[in-house]
Amino acid sequence: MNCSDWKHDLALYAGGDLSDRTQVAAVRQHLSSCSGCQQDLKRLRQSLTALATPPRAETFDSTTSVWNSLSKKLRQSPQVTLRRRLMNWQTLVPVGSIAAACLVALVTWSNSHNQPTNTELIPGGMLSVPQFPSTKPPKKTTPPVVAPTDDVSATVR
Amino acid sequence: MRPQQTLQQESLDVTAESSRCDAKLIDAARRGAEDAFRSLVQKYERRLRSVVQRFVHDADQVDDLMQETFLRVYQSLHQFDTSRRFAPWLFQVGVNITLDFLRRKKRRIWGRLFSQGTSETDYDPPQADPNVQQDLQQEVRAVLQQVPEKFRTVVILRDLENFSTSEIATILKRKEATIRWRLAEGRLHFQHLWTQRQHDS
Repeated sequence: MNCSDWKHDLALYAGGDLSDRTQVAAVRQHLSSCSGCQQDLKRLRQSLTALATPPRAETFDSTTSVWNSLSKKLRQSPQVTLRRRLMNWQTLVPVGSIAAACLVALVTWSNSHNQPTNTELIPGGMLSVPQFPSTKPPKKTTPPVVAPTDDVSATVR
Repeated sequence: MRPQQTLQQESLDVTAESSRCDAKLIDAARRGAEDAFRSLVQKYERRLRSVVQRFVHDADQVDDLMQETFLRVYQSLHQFDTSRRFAPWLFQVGVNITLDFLRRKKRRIWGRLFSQGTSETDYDPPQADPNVQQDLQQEVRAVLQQVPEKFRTVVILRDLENFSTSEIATILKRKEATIRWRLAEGRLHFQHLWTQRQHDS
């Protein structure tokens, strides 16, 4: 190996970044017998010292936190608001419970009203609502009462 | 003097404790606790500012980039695996946003230079001015600017910000061997330019 083969190892050695102990030992052994690489190492260490110069205080110190401006942006972000609502179990639990209760009620109601009876069954399999007796006879101009059904097309007709 | 192994173990314990604390804060922030996210911001903003300032030297732009970083992190919190460490992920987002910003700025500058001829005054590459007594930090910054970006980024994170090579590998999504190679190249580039500059002055 000539000196140019050592340059990468020297650059890592200068900053203490050679993790392999055998590599460290090999670099040290080469350095002990090579004045050129000793000079290179010296220059590398000088440049690393310059790099490690702490920045001026005013560029580092920031007394104000970004939180004030950031929190406004967070609240304005629609994605965040939506996700926050979706992820919030305190919201999910009651909404889910109400939805489940509605579903159970709907299924129960549907099952109980789907039992066919002789009086309520009308042609087409639709169910009618019981009619209460009226005190006045229906006028001729009044449109016929159409029983509310689940079939939208029947209502329109 | 305590043995090196004990110190390393203590450092690892502190890191593990910090990670557990971060994971709790992230869980709370996911459930909508704004205070939890504020704690994370206040814990890391100083370090993040320090890193961003190494790349961008305008205070307002640094603030904008930090806010963008935290905003993006907040919006992606639900994707974050809390078994991983939070800090490398935060710096990964921050460094990527900063480098993207610099690339966009560079493209805009070159675009304007080509479209408006030589009338552009915005682009001011750092140069040594013999009439002005620059402090050492400014000189370092000027020389560092001449090192190619992919090497410079690694040198900044390792030699200026003291991240380990494995942390840099996580931040830049590269193998550690690649980071070591870039670090060596970056140091050699910088040393060559620095020595040349010292001779010239």
